[in-house]
Amino acid sequence: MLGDRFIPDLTRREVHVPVRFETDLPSTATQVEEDRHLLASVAAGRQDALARLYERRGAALFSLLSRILGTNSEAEDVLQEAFVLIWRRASTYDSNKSSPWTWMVMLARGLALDRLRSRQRRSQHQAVYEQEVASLELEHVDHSTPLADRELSDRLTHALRHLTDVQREAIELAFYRGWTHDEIARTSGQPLGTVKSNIRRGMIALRKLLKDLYA
Amino acid sequence: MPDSVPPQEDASLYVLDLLEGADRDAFEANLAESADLQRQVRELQVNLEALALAAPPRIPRPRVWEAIAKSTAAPIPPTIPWWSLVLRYVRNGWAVAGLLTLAWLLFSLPRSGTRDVESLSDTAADSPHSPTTPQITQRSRHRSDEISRKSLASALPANASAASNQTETQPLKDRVRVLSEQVAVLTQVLAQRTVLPPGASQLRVFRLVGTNVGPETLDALATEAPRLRTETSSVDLSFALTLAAARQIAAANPPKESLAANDNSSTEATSPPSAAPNSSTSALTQNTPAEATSDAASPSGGSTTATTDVASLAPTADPGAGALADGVSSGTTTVASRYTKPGASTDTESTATTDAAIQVVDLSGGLASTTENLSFGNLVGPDTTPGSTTKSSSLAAESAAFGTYELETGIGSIAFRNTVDPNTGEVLQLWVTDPHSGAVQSLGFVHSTNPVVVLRFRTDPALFVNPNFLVTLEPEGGSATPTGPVVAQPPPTFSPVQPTP
Repeated sequence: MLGDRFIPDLTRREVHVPVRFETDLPSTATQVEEDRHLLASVAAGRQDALARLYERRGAALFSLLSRILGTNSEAEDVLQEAFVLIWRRASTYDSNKSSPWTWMVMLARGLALDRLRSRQRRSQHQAVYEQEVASLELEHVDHSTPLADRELSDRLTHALRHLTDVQREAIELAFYRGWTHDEIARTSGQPLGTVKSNIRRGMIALRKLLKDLYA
Repeated sequence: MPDSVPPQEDASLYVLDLLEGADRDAFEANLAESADLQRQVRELQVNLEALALAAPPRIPRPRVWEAIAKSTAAPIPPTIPWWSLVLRYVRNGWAVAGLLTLAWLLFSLPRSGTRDVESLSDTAADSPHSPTTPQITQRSRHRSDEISRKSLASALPANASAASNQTETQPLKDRVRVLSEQVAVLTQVLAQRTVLPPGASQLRVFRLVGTNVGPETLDALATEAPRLRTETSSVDLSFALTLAAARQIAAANPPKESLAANDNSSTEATSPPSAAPNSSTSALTQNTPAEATSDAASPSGGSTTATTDVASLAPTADPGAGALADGVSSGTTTVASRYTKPGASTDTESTATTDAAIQVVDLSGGLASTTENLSFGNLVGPDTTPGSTTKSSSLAAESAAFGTYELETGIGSIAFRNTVDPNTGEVLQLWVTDPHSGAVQSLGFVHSTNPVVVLRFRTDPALFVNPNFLVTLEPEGGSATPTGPVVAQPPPTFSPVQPTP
């Protein structure tokens, strides 16, 4: 099965790079340390470090980008842009501000949201809100990935489902669609304060759920 | 800060990149000084990591990395100074050839920034992953591609000849269109059978119609529903269908002035909501059960009270019309009330009052068979329901809702169009009630200045065996149970609509 997965072809020669997808949160100490080391190497101009980083996080980032953009082809374009940006900006990464994975996620997400905004003129109808919420949920029912690779995502999705609907919807719209709380309030018909409150409570509840999950 | 919450409360918004401008500046100022706030932010960032990983990893195609490698590739690092190489070539009598080669290489390599210059290191060169010079071969390929495209273009027939054949190909195009539609229908069926839960599936479809829903809207629905099904792979089929309805209604009905605007009322009206005539929450227990019906295969197994000529709901030319008549029944309920708009005018005589008459049409369609699947699209097709009794009122005329409900999942959705806009501080809240048990559940807020409001909800399926709908006027934010004036409710004296033979 490994042969079916992607192997970065750096030199067009046989490169025996162990390919595996992480099954632990990238926030674990070991994962963070390894990612930091790789980012430092990337900052030093090591393309092999970038390749290793791509192996470790490329699939997860691609999945995130697919979810944000809705199409694989666009997600691939943005994934490419993201790793080129990681290559260029690795030296600006500050480990005091965020983990390497968070930094990469926010960088890639920013690129995707820019693209999303450029192709959408967001309407402020509640139908749009509902449509977006529905589109987020549609992406929850993707069983095309092998079971082993779904384990982590299944656990995380399960944790997300412990939030109330309004909390989860607000957080997901903000994260995956880049909606501001003001936009969520206008389109959902909820007061702005309620939306903010839902996000705050949802984020705190999610943090607790994740702590319990990985205790 | 406009938001008067303490800084730590904004940590969640900050990590989601939701703070902007002064709010963000203020938070970051606090963040720089507060170790505790920094810890909170770091903890909450784990949520982002989790959100990013919530979807299963997907494997990008190899070409993605190829492109990345190409974009980040470093030139082949020289191990000796370039001028030394030149001198060596000159000494060997290869000056001209060497310089030409060097010029060609420089031309071929990408115009990299300083970062690429920095990467000219021995460590990079020693790496087993160091790239070769794919740029050169890539460029060559591009050139050949261009030549190929030009050759291909010249070999193609001219546009003029294509235009001359246009009339000849029209029948073929028509045939393709027909085939495409057939494929779409097949896809629709396959999609439904795939996404629906195993076993018999019961999807209840209901409409709340005011006076007359324009035929253009229903025609649009009939067109939209099958198309949407081909695009949707959701288990929440009912919601998808309702969205289709909402989109079509929105397209057919651009935003209108709300009742408040028509009445020249001000959204700044400060008068408290006055109790409308007939408003009483006790009506909940006085409601006459709606004559909602279910098909023979429904879990309730309730008796079928066909009060509408069901067969007429489907075009007679449809092959599934017979099955539709067997598997679907309908009932109607007239919901009437009176809605008084308070503070509509300083002249009390002109206070806006309108009758709220909503006709509930329940349609239940089984989706367990191909025939029913094919027929289902017709359920939301043109309405030829005979014998509809409607009350002429502005509110009723503007309140048309389409809803669907999945009995298995308890998920439903309902779309309203052009509802009235209540005063500031008030909401129109929709409830579903069970007159037998007295159970009641909020389905959401109906009011909006938007042309369409879509409510999505999950309820106990028992509530939808014989659902009654109720609209009340509630304080902003809504209520847990109905407390305000009733805007629309089932009338005390209910007489089902009789179908025309």
